[in-house]
Amino acid sequence: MILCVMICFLAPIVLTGGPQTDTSSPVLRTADGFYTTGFWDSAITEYQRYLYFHPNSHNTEYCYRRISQCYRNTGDFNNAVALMRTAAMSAVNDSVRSERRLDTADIWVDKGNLAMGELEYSRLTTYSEYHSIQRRSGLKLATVLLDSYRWRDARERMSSLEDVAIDSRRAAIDSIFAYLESVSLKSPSTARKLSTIIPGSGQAYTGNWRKGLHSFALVGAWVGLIAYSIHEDRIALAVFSIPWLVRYYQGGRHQSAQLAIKYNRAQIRPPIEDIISEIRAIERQDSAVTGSTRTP
Amino acid sequence: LAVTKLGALISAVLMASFLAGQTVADDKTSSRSKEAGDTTSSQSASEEAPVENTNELRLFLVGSIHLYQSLFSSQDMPRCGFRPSCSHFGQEAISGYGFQGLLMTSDRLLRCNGMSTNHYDINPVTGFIDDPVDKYSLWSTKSTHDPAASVATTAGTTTAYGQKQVSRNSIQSPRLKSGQNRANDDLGFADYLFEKGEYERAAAEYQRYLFSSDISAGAPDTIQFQIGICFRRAKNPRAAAPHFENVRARLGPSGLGCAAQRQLVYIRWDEGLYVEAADLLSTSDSTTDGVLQNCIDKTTLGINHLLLKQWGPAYDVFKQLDVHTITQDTSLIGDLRHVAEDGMNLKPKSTTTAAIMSAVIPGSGKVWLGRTWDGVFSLLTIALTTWVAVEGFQDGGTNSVQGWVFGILAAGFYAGNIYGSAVAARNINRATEQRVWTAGSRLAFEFSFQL
Repeated sequence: MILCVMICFLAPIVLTGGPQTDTSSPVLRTADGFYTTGFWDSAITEYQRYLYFHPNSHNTEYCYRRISQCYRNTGDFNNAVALMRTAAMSAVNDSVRSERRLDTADIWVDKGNLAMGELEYSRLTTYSEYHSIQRRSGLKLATVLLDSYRWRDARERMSSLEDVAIDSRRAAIDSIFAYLESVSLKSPSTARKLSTIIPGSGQAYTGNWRKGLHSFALVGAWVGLIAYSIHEDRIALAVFSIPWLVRYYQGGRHQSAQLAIKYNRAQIRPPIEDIISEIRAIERQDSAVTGSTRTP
Repeated sequence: LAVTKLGALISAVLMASFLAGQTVADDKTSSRSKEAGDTTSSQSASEEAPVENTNELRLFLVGSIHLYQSLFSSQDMPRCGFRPSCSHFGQEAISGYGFQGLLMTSDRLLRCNGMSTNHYDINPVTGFIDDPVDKYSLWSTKSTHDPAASVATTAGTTTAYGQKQVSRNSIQSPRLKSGQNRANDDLGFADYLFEKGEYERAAAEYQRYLFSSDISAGAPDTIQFQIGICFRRAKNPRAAAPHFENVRARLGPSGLGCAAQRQLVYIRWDEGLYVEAADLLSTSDSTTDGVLQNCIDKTTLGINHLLLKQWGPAYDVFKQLDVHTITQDTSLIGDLRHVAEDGMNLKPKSTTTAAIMSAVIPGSGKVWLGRTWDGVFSLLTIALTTWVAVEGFQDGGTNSVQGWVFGILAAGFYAGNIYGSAVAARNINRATEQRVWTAGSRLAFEFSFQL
């Protein structure tokens, strides 16, 4: 009985990392007020005031997290990351610490640094001892990989995640992945090889006939000029023209490969968006069921 | 005859492409550079543009560049490491500067050889070399550097967490030096923010303290002074000035009032108004009580000479100080003296000599300036185009299209090579002087925040 009561009282504290607000502190109330009304700068000052006057408070992690969120909302991502890391270091237990690391990774992704976000998500997916954290960071990692068009890596990550919420949508996700497998893509390497043999054919292979003709005409014009120069015994003109021919010949090869990549991305983007929206739905479902300490 | 006409047509397009620039980046990279703030060059070009863009020849040249961009550049790899790319540079230069723009474009084409990147600063964000048009205007009176911006750059960052702003010593505000017990006082929180480098927040907290606390006489001046310091460190000198002026007006030319007077001089430095700072120093009526105060005043005067690039007078001041004082930070004064000495020893390269050398042997002026690859590339390009032109004239006489097209091209490169050598000499002199000046301004910043 006593154990049950203790669990009932302590569980929320352990799970959420302590009380969200210290109602006895007017400073924290003011800070929360500023935060909820969107006065980020004033909220930062008030949370800092609270931290200054309560250096050993159990709300330290909460305050740092809020300050980080304020910086994030004002677009100051560097300070947001630094403060979220401080919040992680001030966390009362490993579970909350992992949550804050997940928040840090989110900030990296928001900042546009997908590589750092991917690294942090990978660490959490691999090393976290909490199933919930593993699952959530796995989903986030899959989203980042999909955003970078690495859908095969994302599929691998998704297949290793086991959860009721994921399983309920697995069929839909798997069918989109299967569709992605069947999408006909253009090989950049083939396009480049074709352009090496016949200038412009790589562009035509990717469906860009106009660009192919353009490339063919340009390279052909230089070849014609060189042939004319040699025929007329104008060596200087030929010497002058050869570097230009090489330049536009190489340019055409490069362009054909780029066009193939562009074509492929245009083909796979819609299904990728579908998978990302499925993942978002899982995340919404997840947060609705378990609740979250993460700040909106 | 038909083949000759075709050759002539291709040569004409070729000339247009040469005038336009060797390359332009693909759409993606050019938009990237635009996003990264490439607008400065176009802005400054349009601000300084000495001629209106109505001339038919200019319109033709700019149109040729457009033609080049759509016909040739779209089929090229992103080769140009400069931003704006050569063709955009050409457009800006020709439409903004007319004939001078043509010379600037020629010079840029000769510089875009991929072998001289070490002479330029690569933008860490874009990965390209920022090379704005107005930097190469030989007849522009505007200086390419913004003194205030330089001071702001040397001032360091004011991020809230992590980096400390000033390197030499652990610098404390006058208020913190008093060693007050900070526990549980509102002022302590302001000091805490100040220590963390959150100067604007600290200023707001000091203001709040001034409004809400019942403080004894005299203390408001210290707080006002501190608020001024906060604003200065937050790189907001305009907000700082009224606070120092108030202290100065209340306390007169002694003690804290004297310090406020000095801060007003430093604010002029922050704003890049060195002449105004010198005026303020000359009209200063502060009573220099003691060796230290005297030393500070003299150092301030010396630094002001340094910031005005008056190397000789600055050196004299620091030399005297080195002899007379021990109380000030002698290493700082020693460094300042070295900077002044470096300034005195500057040996500017002659623009005329560089231009004449390049006129006699194309590219030699650039080699003399230390830009060896630029010089070699200029020589080879001019030699090749001249050879093609001569070949044309030999085969077709004076009616040779090839001769005329490449002759004009060679002449353009030759003129651009001379112009480019003169501009390079001037830019190298400016950069060398700027390096010395920046070292001085960094020390000036350190000094001004130590007080």
